[in-house]
Amino acid sequence: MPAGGTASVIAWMFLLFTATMGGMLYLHFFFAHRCWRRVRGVEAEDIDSNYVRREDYFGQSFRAKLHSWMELPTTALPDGMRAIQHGSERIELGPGRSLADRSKSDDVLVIEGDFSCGSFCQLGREIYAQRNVVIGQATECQAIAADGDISLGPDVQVSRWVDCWGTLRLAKGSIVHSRASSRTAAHLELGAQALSVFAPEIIIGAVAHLHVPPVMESSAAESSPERVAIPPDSDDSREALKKAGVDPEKFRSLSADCWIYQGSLRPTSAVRVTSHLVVRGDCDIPAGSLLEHDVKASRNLRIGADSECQANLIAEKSLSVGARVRFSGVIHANEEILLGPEVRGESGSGPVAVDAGSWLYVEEGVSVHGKLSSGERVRVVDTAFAESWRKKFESWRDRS
Amino acid sequence: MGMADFMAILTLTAEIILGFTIFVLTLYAIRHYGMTLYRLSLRRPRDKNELVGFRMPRISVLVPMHNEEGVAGDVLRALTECDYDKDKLEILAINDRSTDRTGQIIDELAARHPVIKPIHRAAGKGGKGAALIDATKQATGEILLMFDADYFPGRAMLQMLAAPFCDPEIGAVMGRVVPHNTGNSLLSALLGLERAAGYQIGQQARYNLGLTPQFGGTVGGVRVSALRAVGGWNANSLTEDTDLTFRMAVRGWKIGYVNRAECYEEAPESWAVRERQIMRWAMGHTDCLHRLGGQVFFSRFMSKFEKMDALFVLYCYWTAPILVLGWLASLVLLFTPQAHHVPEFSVALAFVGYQLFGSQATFFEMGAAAVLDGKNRPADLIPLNLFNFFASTGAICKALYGYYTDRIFGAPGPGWDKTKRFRENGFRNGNGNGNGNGNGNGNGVHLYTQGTNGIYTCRLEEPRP
Repeated sequence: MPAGGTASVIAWMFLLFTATMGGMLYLHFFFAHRCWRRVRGVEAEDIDSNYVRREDYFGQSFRAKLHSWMELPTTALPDGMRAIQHGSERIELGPGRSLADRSKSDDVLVIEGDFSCGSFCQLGREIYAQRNVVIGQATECQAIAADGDISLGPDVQVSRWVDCWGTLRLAKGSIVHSRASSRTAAHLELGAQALSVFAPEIIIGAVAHLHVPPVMESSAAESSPERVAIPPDSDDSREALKKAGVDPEKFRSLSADCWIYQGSLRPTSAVRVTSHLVVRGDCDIPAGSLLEHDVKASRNLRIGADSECQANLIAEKSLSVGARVRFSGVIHANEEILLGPEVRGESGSGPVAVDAGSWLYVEEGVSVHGKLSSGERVRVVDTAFAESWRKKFESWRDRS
Repeated sequence: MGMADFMAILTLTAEIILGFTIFVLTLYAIRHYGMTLYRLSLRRPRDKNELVGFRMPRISVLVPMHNEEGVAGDVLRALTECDYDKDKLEILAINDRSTDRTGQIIDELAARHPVIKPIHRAAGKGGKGAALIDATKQATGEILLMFDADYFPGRAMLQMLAAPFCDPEIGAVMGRVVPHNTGNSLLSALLGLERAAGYQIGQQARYNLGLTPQFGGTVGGVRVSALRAVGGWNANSLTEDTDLTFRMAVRGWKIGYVNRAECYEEAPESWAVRERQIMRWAMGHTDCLHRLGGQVFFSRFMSKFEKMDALFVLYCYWTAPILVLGWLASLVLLFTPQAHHVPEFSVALAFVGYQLFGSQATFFEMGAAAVLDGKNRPADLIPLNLFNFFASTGAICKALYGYYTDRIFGAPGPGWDKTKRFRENGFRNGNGNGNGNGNGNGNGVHLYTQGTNGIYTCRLEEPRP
């Protein structure tokens, strides 16, 4: 091809390229400008400034919705019940009711008394009862609100939430896929699971552990003389720390009330933490220790049996709380938490909380006045499961 | 030196500058893409929302105000309506040498609400930093929470910001600011997208990755003992928030971020106001770079990744002049095709590659933030952000030119400059009732649910008849 022809082709290609790019640019701005014409003058509406966090908001929200539905006209049904049609939803109202085994319902049930159902029922919509609710074995429900007690039988599945003003009982193997809340107490049996549980008193397994003396009243733990002070406050305590296998040189002051330990902290004898402590590594608090201030581990944190935690416990990874530990702050781990047998959480200044980013495993005999919550689920486990979890936990620590 | 030698040196210099520009911007682009993809992949953002309300430390809320008569009442009323234990709360309303009715409004509200404690500053150094120093001396809380006067905290805001302090390593906590006036001007709409990207993607990803989210000086809190340990507020800094962030980070403190603690702010609606704002940020931020960059690099408390990310943040305003130099270098290379030292193909490949991939990084971040926020429609505005980009680039270059000439010639530099307020008659269309949604009847029931994307949203059920 002659030189002039090549130049001509290049020129045309350039023009085509420019036109294409120009067209794309025009479309970009055309759609953007069209969007601006639509959103101009419209204020942001996405923040609800009135929002206040409530642990039982699902139940409260549902009750409020019901309150408005009750004002709609009703039609009588043959079995003494009444019905309300609200859009595509049908609400059945009536006095106390008991459903037989394998019953099915796709209506919202509003019961002005007690409600119970047999085994293997399928209740596809919300249930509200002004008194107590008893759900039979292996029943599938959507959500339950009651002004009295709620008792979920073995292997019951609730796809959303459960909220009651009386006592909430989750029998063996029952699962609440969202939140469970009670204004009185929640009692979870072995194998029970929920995304979160909130109640003034949460009891796992046996009820015998209900009346243990409050955390702050226990003076035996504070008076034990063998505990090594962390951080070291004198030459004697530095020596004691060295004997306990801790390098005092790794302590650095972050502020007047907070210390950092560079590396994993594994003292061999009980300690008394007298200032906020941040451990850059794994932290292994021996049995019988007293934690007067917050403790954080940038990896895994283990609290030995019979310890007393008067402040908060935080772990960037997993957290294991030994048997009979008493705590009065919040416990949080980004991964898993295991609360050992007879762990007790209570504070004189309000409810306490245990929150795991992943699974929160709870052994029998645990009692917490406040909340258990998790990213996956709170699950009551037996001793065998807990032991195998502890072995897994030890291997995580050994690896680090 | 002949013309040919001059051209050779010129083109070589241009090639080096262009290569450096593409290299630097590619690093930033990779960071943007990395964080955005990481944020999009998060099933559940790391947070302590489940602990909100379970541990309430004693807090002092600091509200510095200089000639804020148009907005002072709203923010103070909103704070008094917050759902926080009043026995553990004090609101320090700081009248910083106001010449309008701000002091009077504060006194009137303090008479009605004992939780408000007025502080009247009639003399001394001006500016937010100086006001905070004075107020901190009088604060009795173990945590200080800060709000600018044009902000509007929701009822749960104080609890949400206080909750992360249960972690003893947290020295400061930052909430999320959301412009409420995005419909008032194209600029404020574009800034809405930019803010969403910065918080929903940048801050949350950094927090999840264990890096250092930036404490913004408002809608956030500071632990008093940490503040004392790092030397208190720096009244001489134009960006005392950035200054505090990195002073804390180099001394071992962590900065928390609460995406759910959303608070309305007022974004600049005019380009002149935006220019002044970004110039102040650029100068203050770059000053922090020179004072704290070395400390970040040699900090024994920060990990390698934390240091790297912190340096990316501290150097971010340098990208504007580097980009302008890159443009100039491209022009030089365009007009000197015969003197190139590297194959034109490789230059073209690098340039086109960057244009296809690198320069889209921030827009990708904005789009991803809009998707995570469930606001797809405003994301169509992204192409118009080009104007904001050019305006910001110009303002930053101007600011850095001023900053470095001041440094070279020993000039004192500009003082603190308050961003102009556009709201004069109460919050959101002038209802002025201290209530974001204007109903304030308390009958609404609030649902707070986690979506499939892991984002918590709350909605207000209609008030019951």
